Amino acid sequence: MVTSYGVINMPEAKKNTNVPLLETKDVVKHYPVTGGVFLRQIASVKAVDGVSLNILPGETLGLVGESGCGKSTLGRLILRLEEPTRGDILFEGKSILGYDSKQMRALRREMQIIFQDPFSSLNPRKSVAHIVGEPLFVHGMTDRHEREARVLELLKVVGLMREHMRRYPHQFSGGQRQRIGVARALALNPKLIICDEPVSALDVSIRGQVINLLQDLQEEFGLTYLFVSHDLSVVEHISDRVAVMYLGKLVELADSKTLYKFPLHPYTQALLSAAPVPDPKRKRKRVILSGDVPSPIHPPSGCRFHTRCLYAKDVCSQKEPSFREVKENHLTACHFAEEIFGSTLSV
Amino acid sequence: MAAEHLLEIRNLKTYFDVRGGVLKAVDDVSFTVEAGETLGLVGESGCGKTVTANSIMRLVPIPPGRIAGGKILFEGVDILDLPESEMRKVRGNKISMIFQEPMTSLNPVFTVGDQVAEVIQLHEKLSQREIRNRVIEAFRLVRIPAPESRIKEYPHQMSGGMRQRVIIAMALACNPKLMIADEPSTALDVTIQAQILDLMNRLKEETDASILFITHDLGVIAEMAQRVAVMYAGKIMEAADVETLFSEPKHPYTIGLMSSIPILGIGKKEKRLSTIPGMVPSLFKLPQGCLFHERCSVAATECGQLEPPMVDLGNGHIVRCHKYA
Repeated sequence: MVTSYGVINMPEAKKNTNVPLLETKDVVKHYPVTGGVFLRQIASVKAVDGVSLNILPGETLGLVGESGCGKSTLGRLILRLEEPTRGDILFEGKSILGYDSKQMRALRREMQIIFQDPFSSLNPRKSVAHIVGEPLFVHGMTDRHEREARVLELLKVVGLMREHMRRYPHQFSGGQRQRIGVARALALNPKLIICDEPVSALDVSIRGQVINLLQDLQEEFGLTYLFVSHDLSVVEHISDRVAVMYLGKLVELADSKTLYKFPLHPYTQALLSAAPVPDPKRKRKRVILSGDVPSPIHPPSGCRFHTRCLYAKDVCSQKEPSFREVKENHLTACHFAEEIFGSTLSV
Repeated sequence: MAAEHLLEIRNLKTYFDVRGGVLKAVDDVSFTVEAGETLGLVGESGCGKTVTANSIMRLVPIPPGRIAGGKILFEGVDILDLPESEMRKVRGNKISMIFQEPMTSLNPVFTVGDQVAEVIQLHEKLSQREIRNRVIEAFRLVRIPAPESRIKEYPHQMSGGMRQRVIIAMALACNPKLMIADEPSTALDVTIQAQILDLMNRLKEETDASILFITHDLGVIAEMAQRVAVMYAGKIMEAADVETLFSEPKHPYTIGLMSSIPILGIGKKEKRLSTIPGMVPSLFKLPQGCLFHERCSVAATECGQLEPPMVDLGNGHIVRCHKYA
């Protein structure tokens, strides 16, 4: 795939030739848990616990994981909708954590978000023209006619029409609302869009339409996406590279094809084999994980996955595995990645 | 009549009288569930699959809802004719239901053990001790670890997967003949969903109950059901055994649905997803003729005028489309 930013989806071309558009360095977000008579902090929810990744210009990085793994929090940290407890976030090579509100406002032109729920992310009392035009107004496009012309242009881009401009969110279906959300995110010509489960609330027949729209827009405007989702097949379809998160940490990162064909981390393998496949004839060897995801307040010692892992040995509960490059451009956090790779080539 | 069906639905019509007209949520739906099988009912939101389930359980609020026609024969008896007192003996006893939301379908102020016990108490005359043993047995059946202590917990002390197991235990407590599972795994994470689906498949073999499995997820249906019915805007569009439906879908809607889901395991596709244009019609403004013709890629002129008949293609494969008439 070729975009205005050059060739992507080829690991060779990625090496050092591209400065990452966004980089997170060991980002940590702990939420305090208070208790006792004086509401002192008694523990913390380790929502994101040391995540380092980079997103290259023009690529789609998929971020998968189960609920509560911290994937949405990571997206919000990148936008500074939440302040990280530790770590650094760099946009185009510059740390954005020190930015004051004025600089941040300028930066928000470059980074936008599409939310999961098209029903609650649009103000029900405002017309579409207002919703999509608001970011333009905030960023200085005060002339109403100019603004409306741009809104109209944006609506056309996302497949809506002129007559939709004066309508209110309740007059639209879920898929159309998500298109409005996309138009709003596009309004300021951002470089990076965080898509936080953008199609999870949509019906199957509508989902495809929105995914195709996102891909078309990426090609047209050279957008970069961080695509957060729990739906493995959607992430695989849209992403160049995929990162898998478990309990606040990355467990695996590779390009989409490799990750889905040759997953190295036992959690990724289990996740892939757990996903129901719409083919009654395809009988697979299923890895069914026992137990639930542990609480992020008291994550297990050592490897966080060891309580549910099929391959866990003593070392797993004692020593935390480092997130390392096991094969070229294929990172994983497992002590036994090499052995597992040798024994199970494909799920 | 052929062999007795466990459940037979004949031309069921469930309508809602609301301001602005009559909503035909379920319109002329017929299907059967045989003893020991799992029938999958798939469709998008608002297609009437949940209303169908609620009609069988007689949980449709009347008014605004009403059963405008049809029969629901359970073991040969039309349960629509039963007085409420008789219906209570069926509900939870012979037919039980598993709901989607493990968060809201349990009462937060009672222990989970008490909630399962209530079902048994209602239907069987047993001593407290016997009931307790039955509850523990049910918990064991759904593989809840340490059932003796877990029965004393409240719903908030359990995870989503465990709560769903409690709901399944509740549904199984009286050894029902038929379980209606309405999106039982939709609210759960994939790894937990896999546990629950695996559990349901094993329980079906152990208890020999039939399952009416309602979902929007074709992947889940492929793993659970023996036969599948596809619903769209209140009508059944196609029904067949699961392998036929997935290998040779006939209705343009089924074909569209199947091709609009990305297949796992082939990496990033250069190709776009094929989609079904437009959106599900509003039940207030249903199109003339075939309900799907406005979105159909092979629609002919007659499709916009005449309602297509249900065509029997043999081997239990039926499809509501003019193309095959």
